[in-house]
Amino acid sequence: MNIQPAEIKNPKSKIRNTLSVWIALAGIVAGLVSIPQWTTNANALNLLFLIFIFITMSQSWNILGGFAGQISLGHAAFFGIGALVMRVLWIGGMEFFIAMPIAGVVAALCAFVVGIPTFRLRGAYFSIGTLALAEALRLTIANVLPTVSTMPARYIAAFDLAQRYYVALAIAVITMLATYLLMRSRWMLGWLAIREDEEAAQATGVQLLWHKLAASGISSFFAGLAGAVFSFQQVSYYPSSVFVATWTFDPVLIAFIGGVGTLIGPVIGAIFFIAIREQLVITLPSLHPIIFGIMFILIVLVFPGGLVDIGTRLQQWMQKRRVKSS
Amino acid sequence: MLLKLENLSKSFGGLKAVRELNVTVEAGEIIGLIGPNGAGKTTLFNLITGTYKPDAGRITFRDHEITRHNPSSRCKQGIARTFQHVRPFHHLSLLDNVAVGCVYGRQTARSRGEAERIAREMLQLVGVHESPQVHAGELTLMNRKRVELARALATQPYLLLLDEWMAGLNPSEQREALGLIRRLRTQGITIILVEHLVKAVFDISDRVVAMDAGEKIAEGTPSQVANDPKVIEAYLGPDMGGE
Ligand SMILES: Nc1ncnc2c1ncn2[C@@H]1O[C@H](COP(=O)(O)OP(=O)(O)OP(=O)(O)O)[C@@H](O)[C@H]1O
Ligand SMILES: [Mg+2]
Repeated sequence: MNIQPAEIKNPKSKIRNTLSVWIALAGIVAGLVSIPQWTTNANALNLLFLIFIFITMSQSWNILGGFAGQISLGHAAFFGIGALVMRVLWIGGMEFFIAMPIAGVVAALCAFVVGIPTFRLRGAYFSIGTLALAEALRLTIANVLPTVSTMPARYIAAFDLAQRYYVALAIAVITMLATYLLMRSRWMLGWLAIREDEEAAQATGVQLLWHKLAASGISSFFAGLAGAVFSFQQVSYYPSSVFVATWTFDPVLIAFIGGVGTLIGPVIGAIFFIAIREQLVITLPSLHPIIFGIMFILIVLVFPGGLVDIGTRLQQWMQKRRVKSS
Repeated sequence: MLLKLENLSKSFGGLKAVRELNVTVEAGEIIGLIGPNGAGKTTLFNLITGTYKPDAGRITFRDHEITRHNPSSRCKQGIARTFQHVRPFHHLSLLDNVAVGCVYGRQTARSRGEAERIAREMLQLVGVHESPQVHAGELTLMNRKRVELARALATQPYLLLLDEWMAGLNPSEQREALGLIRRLRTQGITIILVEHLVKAVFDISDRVVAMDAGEKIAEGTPSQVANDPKVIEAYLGPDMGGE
Protein backbone atom coordinates (compact mmCIF):
# COMPACT_ATOMS: atom_id res chain seq x y z
CA MET A 1 0.00 0.00 0.00
CA ASN A 2 1.44 3.32 -0.96
CA ILE A 3 0.64 5.95 1.58
CA GLN A 4 1.17 9.53 0.63
CA PRO A 5 0.69 12.13 3.30
CA ALA A 6 -1.26 15.17 2.29
CA GLU A 7 0.75 18.07 3.53
CA ILE A 8 0.59 21.67 2.63
CA LYS A 9 3.58 22.90 0.72
CA ASN A 10 3.53 26.62 1.20
CA PRO A 11 5.03 27.40 4.65
CA LYS A 12 3.02 30.56 5.23
CA SER A 13 -0.30 29.02 4.40
CA LYS A 14 0.76 26.05 6.52
CA ILE A 15 1.18 28.19 9.61
CA ARG A 16 -2.06 30.00 8.92
CA ASN A 17 -3.81 26.70 8.35
CA THR A 18 -2.57 25.08 11.54
CA LEU A 19 -3.62 28.15 13.48
CA SER A 20 -7.10 28.28 12.02
CA VAL A 21 -7.46 24.53 12.48
CA TRP A 22 -6.65 24.91 16.17
CA ILE A 23 -9.00 27.82 16.69
CA ALA A 24 -11.73 25.93 14.88
CA LEU A 25 -11.01 22.81 16.94
CA ALA A 26 -11.15 24.69 20.23
CA GLY A 27 -14.47 26.21 19.17
CA ILE A 28 -15.83 22.83 18.13
CA VAL A 29 -14.76 21.21 21.41
CA ALA A 30 -16.40 24.01 23.40
CA GLY A 31 -19.55 23.56 21.33
CA LEU A 32 -19.48 19.80 21.84
CA VAL A 33 -19.06 20.19 25.59
CA SER A 34 -22.21 22.31 25.72
CA ILE A 35 -24.40 19.98 23.66
CA PRO A 36 -25.69 17.78 26.54
CA GLN A 37 -26.73 20.99 28.29
CA TRP A 38 -29.33 21.83 25.70
CA THR A 39 -30.40 18.45 24.37
CA THR A 40 -31.16 15.04 25.85
CA ASN A 41 -31.92 13.58 22.44
CA ALA A 42 -30.41 10.11 22.83
CA ASN A 43 -30.03 9.57 19.08
CA ALA A 44 -27.96 12.71 18.62
CA LEU A 45 -25.77 11.99 21.64
CA ASN A 46 -25.24 8.37 20.56
CA LEU A 47 -24.28 9.46 17.07
CA LEU A 48 -21.72 11.92 18.38
CA PHE A 49 -20.52 9.25 20.81
CA LEU A 50 -19.86 6.95 17.83
CA ILE A 51 -18.01 9.70 15.99
CA PHE A 52 -15.73 10.19 19.02
CA ILE A 53 -15.02 6.46 19.16
CA PHE A 54 -14.21 6.40 15.47
CA ILE A 55 -11.98 9.45 15.72
CA THR A 56 -10.02 7.71 18.46
CA MET A 57 -9.82 4.41 16.59
CA SER A 58 -8.92 5.97 13.28
CA GLN A 59 -6.28 8.24 14.79
CA SER A 60 -4.90 5.23 16.63
CA TRP A 61 -4.54 3.37 13.33
CA ASN A 62 -3.14 6.52 11.72
CA ILE A 63 -0.34 6.88 14.30
CA LEU A 64 0.92 3.44 13.39
CA GLY A 65 -0.03 3.21 9.70
CA GLY A 66 -0.08 6.81 8.54
CA PHE A 67 3.02 8.08 10.33
CA ALA A 68 5.16 5.03 11.10
CA GLY A 69 4.07 3.17 7.96
CA GLN A 70 3.26 -0.09 9.75
CA ILE A 71 -0.08 -1.36 8.49
CA SER A 72 -2.22 -3.03 11.14
CA LEU A 73 -4.90 -5.23 9.63
CA GLY A 74 -6.16 -6.28 13.04
CA HIS A 75 -6.81 -3.15 15.01
CA ALA A 76 -10.05 -4.80 16.16
CA ALA A 77 -7.85 -6.99 18.38
CA PHE A 78 -6.69 -3.99 20.43
CA PHE A 79 -10.15 -2.42 20.47
CA GLY A 80 -11.65 -5.73 21.60
CA ILE A 81 -9.02 -6.32 24.28
CA GLY A 82 -9.65 -2.85 25.64
CA ALA A 83 -13.39 -3.48 25.67
CA LEU A 84 -13.02 -6.85 27.38
CA VAL A 85 -10.59 -5.69 30.06
CA MET A 86 -12.71 -2.62 30.79
CA ARG A 87 -15.92 -4.65 31.07
CA VAL A 88 -14.40 -7.21 33.42
CA LEU A 89 -12.71 -4.67 35.70
CA TRP A 90 -15.51 -2.12 35.75
CA ILE A 91 -18.33 -4.60 36.31
CA GLY A 92 -16.02 -6.22 38.83
CA GLY A 93 -16.27 -2.98 40.84
CA MET A 94 -13.32 -0.88 39.73
CA GLU A 95 -13.80 2.85 39.07
CA PHE A 96 -14.18 3.37 35.31
CA PHE A 97 -11.46 5.99 35.11
CA ILE A 98 -8.96 3.54 36.62
CA ALA A 99 -10.12 0.56 34.56
CA MET A 100 -9.89 2.53 31.32
CA PRO A 101 -6.14 3.23 31.27
CA ILE A 102 -5.51 -0.35 32.39
CA ALA A 103 -7.53 -1.52 29.36
CA GLY A 104 -5.32 0.66 27.16
CA VAL A 105 -2.13 -0.71 28.67
CA VAL A 106 -3.23 -4.33 28.22
CA ALA A 107 -4.01 -3.58 24.56
CA ALA A 108 -0.54 -2.07 24.16
CA LEU A 109 1.04 -5.18 25.69
CA CYS A 110 -0.84 -7.30 23.13
CA ALA A 111 0.67 -5.14 20.40
CA PHE A 112 4.14 -5.99 21.70
CA VAL A 113 3.25 -9.69 21.61
CA VAL A 114 2.57 -9.41 17.85
CA GLY A 115 5.23 -6.81 17.19
CA ILE A 116 8.29 -8.33 18.83
CA PRO A 117 8.42 -11.43 16.59
CA THR A 118 7.03 -9.84 13.40
CA PHE A 119 8.84 -6.50 13.30
CA ARG A 120 12.18 -8.28 13.03
CA LEU A 121 11.09 -9.72 9.69
CA ARG A 122 10.85 -7.72 6.51
CA GLY A 123 7.58 -7.47 4.66
CA ALA A 124 3.96 -7.85 5.64
CA TYR A 125 4.44 -10.06 8.70
CA PHE A 126 3.17 -7.49 11.16
CA SER A 127 0.04 -6.89 9.07
CA ILE A 128 -0.63 -10.60 8.87
CA GLY A 129 0.18 -11.05 12.55
CA THR A 130 -2.35 -8.44 13.64
CA LEU A 131 -4.97 -9.88 11.29
CA ALA A 132 -4.37 -13.35 12.74
CA LEU A 133 -4.48 -12.05 16.31
CA ALA A 134 -7.84 -10.35 15.77
CA GLU A 135 -9.39 -13.44 14.20
CA ALA A 136 -7.93 -15.79 16.82
CA LEU A 137 -9.26 -13.59 19.60
CA ARG A 138 -12.68 -13.29 17.98
CA LEU A 139 -13.04 -17.07 17.66
CA THR A 140 -11.65 -17.75 21.12
CA ILE A 141 -13.89 -15.19 22.80
CA ALA A 142 -16.91 -16.49 20.87
CA ASN A 143 -16.20 -19.94 22.34
CA VAL A 144 -15.25 -18.94 25.85
CA LEU A 145 -17.84 -16.16 26.31
CA PRO A 146 -20.69 -17.14 23.99
CA THR A 147 -23.46 -15.31 25.85
CA VAL A 148 -24.44 -11.66 25.77
CA SER A 149 -22.69 -9.45 28.30
CA THR A 150 -25.29 -7.26 29.99
CA MET A 151 -24.68 -4.56 32.56
CA PRO A 152 -25.91 -5.41 36.07
CA ALA A 153 -29.30 -3.86 36.89
CA ARG A 154 -27.94 -1.23 39.25
CA TYR A 155 -25.46 -0.11 36.55
CA ILE A 156 -28.33 0.25 34.10
CA ALA A 157 -30.34 2.19 36.67
CA ALA A 158 -27.41 4.56 37.16
CA PHE A 159 -26.66 4.82 33.43
CA ASP A 160 -26.12 8.43 32.34
CA LEU A 161 -25.76 8.96 28.61
CA ALA A 162 -24.31 12.44 29.02
CA GLN A 163 -21.50 11.02 31.16
CA ARG A 164 -20.70 8.44 28.45
CA TYR A 165 -20.74 11.23 25.90
CA TYR A 166 -18.24 13.28 27.91
CA VAL A 167 -15.94 10.32 28.47
CA ALA A 168 -15.86 9.53 24.75
CA LEU A 169 -15.28 13.20 23.92
CA ALA A 170 -12.45 13.41 26.45
CA ILE A 171 -10.74 10.30 25.06
CA ALA A 172 -11.02 11.60 21.50
CA VAL A 173 -9.57 14.98 22.52
CA ILE A 174 -6.75 13.29 24.45
CA THR A 175 -5.96 11.12 21.42
CA MET A 176 -5.87 14.18 19.18
CA LEU A 177 -3.64 16.12 21.56
CA ALA A 178 -1.31 13.17 21.97
CA THR A 179 -1.05 12.82 18.20
CA TYR A 180 -0.33 16.52 17.88
CA LEU A 181 2.46 16.30 20.46
CA LEU A 182 3.85 13.17 18.82
CA MET A 183 3.96 14.98 15.48
CA ARG A 184 6.21 17.61 17.02
CA SER A 185 8.41 15.07 18.82
CA ARG A 186 11.78 13.75 17.73
CA TRP A 187 10.37 10.21 17.60
CA MET A 188 8.05 11.29 14.81
CA LEU A 189 11.07 11.95 12.59
CA GLY A 190 12.18 8.36 13.10
CA TRP A 191 8.70 7.03 12.34
CA LEU A 192 8.37 9.08 9.18
CA ALA A 193 11.84 8.00 8.07
CA ILE A 194 10.90 4.35 8.58
CA ARG A 195 7.67 4.83 6.63
CA GLU A 196 9.61 6.40 3.76
CA ASP A 197 12.58 4.05 3.51
CA GLU A 198 13.63 1.56 6.18
CA GLU A 199 17.14 1.05 4.86
CA ALA A 200 17.88 4.75 4.55
CA ALA A 201 16.35 5.32 8.00
CA GLN A 202 18.65 2.71 9.52
CA ALA A 203 21.64 4.18 7.74
CA THR A 204 20.71 7.50 9.36
CA GLY A 205 20.73 5.93 12.83
CA VAL A 206 17.05 5.06 13.36
CA GLN A 207 16.57 1.81 15.29
CA LEU A 208 13.77 0.04 13.50
CA LEU A 209 12.53 -2.39 16.13
CA TRP A 210 12.20 0.10 18.98
CA HIS A 211 10.50 2.69 16.85
CA LYS A 212 8.01 0.24 15.43
CA LEU A 213 7.27 -1.19 18.86
CA ALA A 214 6.75 2.28 20.31
CA ALA A 215 4.40 3.24 17.48
CA SER A 216 2.37 0.05 17.80
CA GLY A 217 2.26 0.31 21.61
CA ILE A 218 1.05 3.91 21.60
CA SER A 219 -1.40 3.22 18.79
CA SER A 220 -2.83 0.16 20.52
CA PHE A 221 -3.11 2.00 23.82
CA PHE A 222 -5.54 4.43 22.18
CA ALA A 223 -7.37 1.61 20.39
CA GLY A 224 -7.75 -0.06 23.79
CA LEU A 225 -9.14 3.17 25.24
CA ALA A 226 -11.66 3.37 22.40
CA GLY A 227 -12.75 -0.19 23.14
CA ALA A 228 -12.98 0.62 26.84
CA VAL A 229 -15.25 3.60 26.17
CA PHE A 230 -17.41 1.46 23.92
CA SER A 231 -17.91 -1.28 26.51
CA PHE A 232 -18.52 1.38 29.16
CA GLN A 233 -21.45 2.61 27.09
CA GLN A 234 -23.02 -0.58 25.72
CA VAL A 235 -25.78 -1.95 27.92
CA SER A 236 -25.46 -5.38 26.34
CA TYR A 237 -23.37 -6.87 23.54
CA TYR A 238 -21.74 -10.13 22.52
CA PRO A 239 -18.15 -10.11 23.80
CA SER A 240 -16.88 -11.44 20.45
CA SER A 241 -18.59 -8.65 18.48
CA VAL A 242 -15.93 -6.09 19.42
CA PHE A 243 -13.32 -8.26 17.70
CA VAL A 244 -15.00 -8.37 14.28
CA ALA A 245 -13.07 -7.04 11.29
CA THR A 246 -15.30 -3.98 10.84
CA TRP A 247 -13.62 -2.53 13.94
CA THR A 248 -10.42 -2.68 11.91
CA PHE A 249 -11.62 -1.67 8.48
CA ASP A 250 -13.99 1.16 9.37
CA PRO A 251 -11.15 3.09 11.09
CA VAL A 252 -8.84 2.38 8.14
CA LEU A 253 -11.49 3.62 5.73
CA ILE A 254 -12.02 6.72 7.86
CA ALA A 255 -8.30 7.48 7.88
CA PHE A 256 -8.19 7.20 4.10
CA ILE A 257 -11.34 9.27 3.58
CA GLY A 258 -10.00 12.04 5.80
CA GLY A 259 -6.33 11.87 4.90
CA VAL A 260 -3.72 9.32 5.98
CA GLY A 261 -0.74 10.71 7.85
CA THR A 262 -2.46 13.97 8.81
CA LEU A 263 -3.66 15.15 12.20
CA ILE A 264 -7.11 16.25 11.18
CA GLY A 265 -7.87 13.54 8.62
CA PRO A 266 -9.39 11.05 11.08
CA VAL A 267 -11.76 13.74 12.43
CA ILE A 268 -13.05 14.75 9.02
CA GLY A 269 -13.16 11.12 7.94
CA ALA A 270 -15.13 10.03 11.02
CA ILE A 271 -17.76 12.75 10.63
CA PHE A 272 -18.12 12.04 6.92
CA PHE A 273 -18.25 8.29 7.49
CA ILE A 274 -20.89 8.35 10.22
CA ALA A 275 -23.01 10.91 8.36
CA ILE A 276 -22.99 8.85 5.16
CA ARG A 277 -23.46 5.57 6.97
CA GLU A 278 -26.51 6.83 8.86
CA GLN A 279 -28.06 7.95 5.59
CA LEU A 280 -27.28 4.66 3.85
CA VAL A 281 -28.52 2.52 6.71
CA ILE A 282 -31.90 4.19 6.32
CA THR A 283 -32.10 4.28 2.52
CA LEU A 284 -30.02 1.30 1.33
CA PRO A 285 -29.49 -0.92 4.37
CA SER A 286 -27.96 -3.94 2.63
CA LEU A 287 -25.78 -2.01 0.21
CA HIS A 288 -23.76 0.23 2.47
CA PRO A 289 -20.72 -2.07 2.89
CA ILE A 290 -20.42 -2.28 -0.90
CA ILE A 291 -20.77 1.47 -1.29
CA PHE A 292 -18.04 2.04 1.31
CA GLY A 293 -15.86 -0.52 -0.43
CA ILE A 294 -16.17 1.30 -3.73
CA MET A 295 -15.59 4.63 -2.02
CA PHE A 296 -12.41 3.28 -0.43
CA ILE A 297 -11.02 2.11 -3.77
CA LEU A 298 -11.89 5.42 -5.43
CA ILE A 299 -10.21 7.44 -2.70
CA VAL A 300 -7.05 5.35 -2.72
CA LEU A 301 -6.81 5.54 -6.51
CA VAL A 302 -7.97 9.07 -7.22
CA PHE A 303 -7.48 11.04 -3.99
CA PRO A 304 -4.79 9.28 -1.97
CA GLY A 305 -4.53 12.38 0.22
CA GLY A 306 -8.19 12.17 1.24
CA LEU A 307 -10.56 15.04 2.01
CA VAL A 308 -7.85 17.06 3.74
CA ASP A 309 -5.82 17.07 0.55
CA ILE A 310 -8.82 17.94 -1.60
CA GLY A 311 -9.54 20.82 0.78
CA THR A 312 -6.04 22.27 0.63
CA ARG A 313 -5.92 21.91 -3.14
CA LEU A 314 -9.19 23.76 -3.46
CA GLN A 315 -7.87 26.46 -1.16
CA GLN A 316 -4.66 26.82 -3.17
CA TRP A 317 -6.65 26.94 -6.39
CA MET A 318 -8.87 29.70 -5.00
CA GLN A 319 -5.84 31.65 -3.77
CA LYS A 320 -4.32 31.47 -7.24
CA ARG A 321 -7.53 32.72 -8.77
CA ARG A 322 -7.69 35.58 -6.30
CA VAL A 323 -4.08 36.51 -7.10
CA LYS A 324 -4.85 36.42 -10.81
CA SER A 325 -7.98 38.55 -10.60
CA SER A 326 -6.38 41.19 -8.37
CA MET B 1 43.75 4.13 12.07
CA LEU B 2 40.07 4.81 11.58
CA LEU B 3 38.80 1.74 9.75
CA LYS B 4 40.31 -1.68 9.25
CA LEU B 5 38.83 -4.38 7.05
CA GLU B 6 40.41 -7.80 7.48
CA ASN B 7 39.80 -10.74 5.15
CA LEU B 8 36.29 -9.53 4.47
CA SER B 9 34.17 -11.85 2.31
CA LYS B 10 30.56 -11.76 1.15
CA SER B 11 28.79 -14.09 -1.27
CA PHE B 12 25.34 -13.98 -2.80
CA GLY B 13 24.45 -17.57 -3.57
CA GLY B 14 27.43 -18.79 -5.54
CA LEU B 15 28.61 -15.31 -6.47
CA LYS B 16 31.55 -14.01 -4.47
CA ALA B 17 30.85 -10.28 -4.43
CA VAL B 18 33.70 -9.47 -2.03
CA ARG B 19 36.63 -11.84 -1.46
CA GLU B 20 39.14 -11.74 1.40
CA LEU B 21 39.50 -8.02 1.21
CA ASN B 22 42.00 -6.13 3.36
CA VAL B 23 41.90 -2.37 3.53
CA THR B 24 43.05 0.11 6.15
CA VAL B 25 41.84 3.69 6.25
CA GLU B 26 43.59 6.44 8.20
CA ALA B 27 41.70 9.33 9.73
CA GLY B 28 41.54 12.36 7.44
CA GLU B 29 42.15 10.49 4.20
CA ILE B 30 40.20 10.64 0.99
CA ILE B 31 40.16 7.15 -0.46
CA GLY B 32 39.00 6.53 -4.01
CA LEU B 33 37.44 3.14 -4.64
CA ILE B 34 37.30 2.16 -8.31
CA GLY B 35 36.45 -0.93 -10.29
CA PRO B 36 34.27 -2.01 -13.20
CA ASN B 37 30.54 -2.66 -12.87
CA GLY B 38 29.85 -5.53 -10.51
CA ALA B 39 33.31 -5.36 -8.95
CA GLY B 40 31.78 -5.32 -5.46
CA LYS B 41 32.19 -1.65 -4.51
CA THR B 42 28.63 -1.12 -3.31
CA THR B 43 28.68 -4.48 -1.56
CA LEU B 44 31.79 -3.37 0.29
CA PHE B 45 29.98 -0.18 1.36
CA ASN B 46 27.05 -2.28 2.54
CA LEU B 47 29.45 -4.36 4.63
CA ILE B 48 31.02 -1.28 6.17
CA THR B 49 27.63 0.27 7.03
CA GLY B 50 26.18 -3.02 8.26
CA THR B 51 23.45 -3.39 5.66
CA TYR B 52 25.04 -6.78 4.95
CA LYS B 53 26.87 -8.94 7.45
CA PRO B 54 30.08 -10.50 6.08
CA ASP B 55 30.39 -14.27 5.70
CA ALA B 56 33.91 -14.02 7.06
CA GLY B 57 36.36 -11.39 8.21
CA ARG B 58 36.48 -8.53 10.66
CA ILE B 59 35.64 -4.84 10.64
CA THR B 60 37.26 -2.53 13.17
CA PHE B 61 36.22 1.10 13.48
CA ARG B 62 37.97 3.47 15.87
CA ASP B 63 39.47 0.53 17.79
CA HIS B 64 36.15 -1.24 18.26
CA GLU B 65 35.12 -4.36 16.45
CA ILE B 66 31.81 -3.64 14.71
CA THR B 67 31.55 -6.70 12.44
CA ARG B 68 28.14 -7.70 13.84
CA HIS B 69 26.76 -4.28 14.69
CA ASN B 70 23.58 -3.19 12.95
CA PRO B 71 23.47 -0.17 10.61
CA SER B 72 21.83 2.24 13.06
CA SER B 73 24.44 1.51 15.70
CA ARG B 74 27.24 2.07 13.17
CA CYS B 75 25.70 5.38 12.19
CA LYS B 76 25.68 6.42 15.83
CA GLN B 77 29.35 5.44 16.02
CA GLY B 78 30.13 7.76 13.13
CA ILE B 79 29.69 5.97 9.81
CA ALA B 80 27.42 7.69 7.29
CA ARG B 81 26.66 7.04 3.65
CA THR B 82 24.87 8.11 0.54
CA PHE B 83 23.23 5.57 -1.76
CA GLN B 84 24.21 4.82 -5.34
CA HIS B 85 20.54 5.13 -6.30
CA VAL B 86 19.69 8.27 -4.39
CA ARG B 87 17.28 7.63 -1.52
CA PRO B 88 16.05 10.76 0.22
CA PHE B 89 12.79 10.49 2.19
CA HIS B 90 10.55 11.50 -0.69
CA HIS B 91 7.41 12.65 1.10
CA LEU B 92 9.22 14.56 3.84
CA SER B 93 10.31 18.16 3.72
CA LEU B 94 13.99 18.90 3.14
CA LEU B 95 14.15 20.11 6.72
CA ASP B 96 12.74 16.85 8.09
CA ASN B 97 14.97 14.79 5.81
CA VAL B 98 18.08 16.31 7.29
CA ALA B 99 16.68 16.67 10.83
CA VAL B 100 16.43 12.87 11.00
CA GLY B 101 20.22 12.79 10.82
CA CYS B 102 20.52 15.44 13.54
CA VAL B 103 18.28 13.48 15.90
CA TYR B 104 19.54 9.95 15.34
CA GLY B 105 23.17 10.34 14.37
CA ARG B 106 26.35 10.41 16.40
CA GLN B 107 25.27 13.65 18.05
CA THR B 108 21.69 13.79 19.26
CA ALA B 109 19.85 17.07 18.88
CA ARG B 110 17.98 17.75 22.11
CA SER B 111 14.84 19.06 20.46
CA ARG B 112 13.13 19.30 17.10
CA GLY B 113 14.01 22.99 17.10
CA GLU B 114 17.72 22.34 17.54
CA ALA B 115 17.60 19.58 14.92
CA GLU B 116 15.94 21.96 12.46
CA ARG B 117 18.50 24.68 13.10
CA ILE B 118 21.38 22.29 12.35
CA ALA B 119 19.47 20.90 9.37
CA ARG B 120 19.23 24.38 7.86
CA GLU B 121 22.99 24.82 8.23
CA MET B 122 23.62 21.48 6.54
CA LEU B 123 21.34 22.35 3.64
CA GLN B 124 23.28 25.59 3.21
CA LEU B 125 26.59 23.74 3.39
CA VAL B 126 25.70 21.35 0.56
CA GLY B 127 24.24 24.18 -1.51
CA VAL B 128 20.50 23.49 -1.49
CA HIS B 129 18.71 26.77 -2.00
CA GLU B 130 15.16 25.44 -2.29
CA SER B 131 12.66 26.23 0.46
CA PRO B 132 13.29 23.79 3.33
CA GLN B 133 9.56 23.03 3.36
CA VAL B 134 9.57 21.51 -0.12
CA HIS B 135 9.30 17.73 -0.30
CA ALA B 136 12.48 15.92 -1.32
CA GLY B 137 10.61 14.03 -4.04
CA GLU B 138 10.04 17.27 -5.93
CA LEU B 139 13.73 18.10 -6.34
CA THR B 140 16.05 17.64 -9.29
CA LEU B 141 18.49 14.73 -9.16
CA MET B 142 21.36 17.00 -8.19
CA ASN B 143 19.43 18.52 -5.31
CA ARG B 144 18.22 15.12 -4.14
CA LYS B 145 21.84 14.04 -3.98
CA ARG B 146 22.68 17.15 -2.03
CA VAL B 147 19.87 16.55 0.45
CA GLU B 148 20.99 12.97 0.91
CA LEU B 149 24.51 14.22 1.60
CA ALA B 150 23.19 16.81 4.04
CA ARG B 151 21.30 14.05 5.84
CA ALA B 152 24.49 11.98 6.08
CA LEU B 153 26.51 14.98 7.29
CA ALA B 154 23.86 15.81 9.88
CA THR B 155 24.74 12.56 11.66
CA GLN B 156 28.20 14.12 12.34
CA PRO B 157 30.17 11.21 10.88
CA TYR B 158 33.86 10.43 11.25
CA LEU B 159 33.67 8.36 8.08
CA LEU B 160 31.57 9.23 5.04
CA LEU B 161 30.92 6.76 2.23
CA LEU B 162 29.92 8.34 -1.08
CA ASP B 163 28.61 5.83 -3.64
CA GLU B 164 28.76 7.43 -7.10
CA TRP B 165 27.69 10.71 -5.65
CA MET B 166 28.93 12.57 -8.73
CA ALA B 167 27.29 10.30 -11.31
CA GLY B 168 24.85 12.21 -13.47
CA LEU B 169 26.26 15.63 -12.65
CA ASN B 170 27.40 17.98 -15.40
CA PRO B 171 31.04 19.16 -15.46
CA SER B 172 30.47 22.35 -13.51
CA GLU B 173 28.42 20.49 -10.88
CA GLN B 174 31.22 17.94 -10.68
CA ARG B 175 33.76 20.68 -9.98
CA GLU B 176 31.49 22.02 -7.30
CA ALA B 177 31.13 18.54 -5.80
CA LEU B 178 34.89 18.04 -5.68
CA GLY B 179 35.27 21.36 -3.90
CA LEU B 180 32.65 20.32 -1.39
CA ILE B 181 34.35 16.99 -0.72
CA ARG B 182 37.67 18.73 -0.11
CA ARG B 183 35.98 21.12 2.26
CA LEU B 184 34.44 18.23 4.22
CA ARG B 185 37.88 16.72 4.61
CA THR B 186 39.23 19.92 6.09
CA GLN B 187 36.46 19.62 8.67
CA GLY B 188 37.97 16.31 9.74
CA ILE B 189 35.72 13.89 7.89
CA THR B 190 37.36 10.84 6.35
CA ILE B 191 35.88 9.97 2.98
CA ILE B 192 35.72 6.86 0.84
CA LEU B 193 34.27 7.58 -2.56
CA VAL B 194 33.20 5.28 -5.32
CA GLU B 195 33.13 6.91 -8.75
CA HIS B 196 33.30 5.82 -12.33
CA LEU B 197 34.80 9.19 -13.24
CA VAL B 198 38.36 7.96 -13.01
CA LYS B 199 39.95 11.33 -13.58
CA ALA B 200 38.00 12.96 -10.78
CA VAL B 201 38.87 10.11 -8.41
CA PHE B 202 42.57 10.33 -9.19
CA ASP B 203 42.43 14.09 -8.79
CA ILE B 204 40.94 14.17 -5.36
CA SER B 205 42.08 10.96 -3.64
CA ASP B 206 45.08 10.55 -1.37
CA ARG B 207 44.96 6.85 -2.01
CA VAL B 208 43.09 4.68 -4.48
CA VAL B 209 41.88 1.11 -4.05
CA ALA B 210 40.97 -0.80 -7.20
CA MET B 211 38.65 -3.80 -7.13
CA ASP B 212 37.70 -6.37 -9.71
CA ALA B 213 35.42 -9.39 -9.29
CA GLY B 214 35.32 -8.88 -5.52
CA GLU B 215 39.07 -8.72 -5.06
CA LYS B 216 41.42 -5.88 -4.35
CA ILE B 217 43.71 -5.77 -7.36
CA ALA B 218 45.69 -2.63 -6.56
CA GLU B 219 46.18 -0.04 -3.87
CA GLY B 220 48.37 3.02 -3.66
CA THR B 221 48.73 6.62 -4.69
CA PRO B 222 46.63 7.66 -7.69
CA SER B 223 49.61 7.53 -10.03
CA GLN B 224 50.69 4.08 -8.78
CA VAL B 225 47.19 2.69 -9.32
CA ALA B 226 46.75 4.45 -12.65
CA ASN B 227 49.90 2.75 -13.97
CA ASP B 228 49.20 -0.67 -12.47
CA PRO B 229 48.95 -3.22 -15.32
CA LYS B 230 46.19 -5.15 -13.54
CA VAL B 231 44.10 -2.01 -13.22
CA ILE B 232 44.67 -1.04 -16.81
CA GLU B 233 43.60 -4.49 -17.90
CA ALA B 234 40.60 -4.90 -15.61
CA TYR B 235 39.25 -1.43 -15.43
CA LEU B 236 40.65 0.95 -17.93
CA GLY B 237 40.86 -1.65 -20.68
CA PRO B 238 37.61 -3.04 -22.04
CA ASP B 239 35.25 -1.17 -19.71
CA MET B 240 36.59 2.35 -19.90
CA GLY B 241 33.37 4.29 -20.04
CA GLY B 242 31.59 3.00 -17.00
CA GLU B 243 28.14 4.44 -16.36
N1 LIG C 1 21.66 -8.09 -2.72
C1 LIG C 1 22.28 -8.77 -3.69
N2 LIG C 1 21.84 -9.99 -4.04
C2 LIG C 1 22.45 -10.70 -5.00
N3 LIG C 1 23.52 -10.27 -5.68
C3 LIG C 1 24.00 -9.06 -5.39
C4 LIG C 1 23.40 -8.25 -4.38
N4 LIG C 1 24.11 -7.09 -4.30
C5 LIG C 1 25.08 -7.17 -5.20
N5 LIG C 1 25.02 -8.36 -5.87
C6 LIG C 1 25.94 -8.81 -6.91
O1 LIG C 1 27.25 -8.66 -6.40
C7 LIG C 1 28.13 -8.19 -7.42
C8 LIG C 1 28.77 -6.92 -6.95
O2 LIG C 1 27.77 -5.90 -6.97
P1 LIG C 1 28.04 -4.43 -6.48
O3 LIG C 1 26.74 -3.73 -6.53
O4 LIG C 1 28.75 -4.47 -5.19
O5 LIG C 1 28.99 -3.91 -7.61
P2 LIG C 1 29.53 -2.44 -7.87
O6 LIG C 1 31.01 -2.56 -7.91
O7 LIG C 1 28.94 -1.50 -6.93
O8 LIG C 1 28.99 -2.19 -9.35
P3 LIG C 1 28.43 -0.85 -10.03
O9 LIG C 1 29.61 -0.10 -10.50
O10 LIG C 1 27.60 -1.35 -11.15
O11 LIG C 1 27.63 -0.13 -9.01
C9 LIG C 1 27.30 -8.04 -8.68
O12 LIG C 1 27.46 -9.17 -9.47
C10 LIG C 1 25.89 -7.95 -8.15
O13 LIG C 1 24.97 -8.47 -9.08
MG1 LIG D 1 27.73 0.12 -7.04
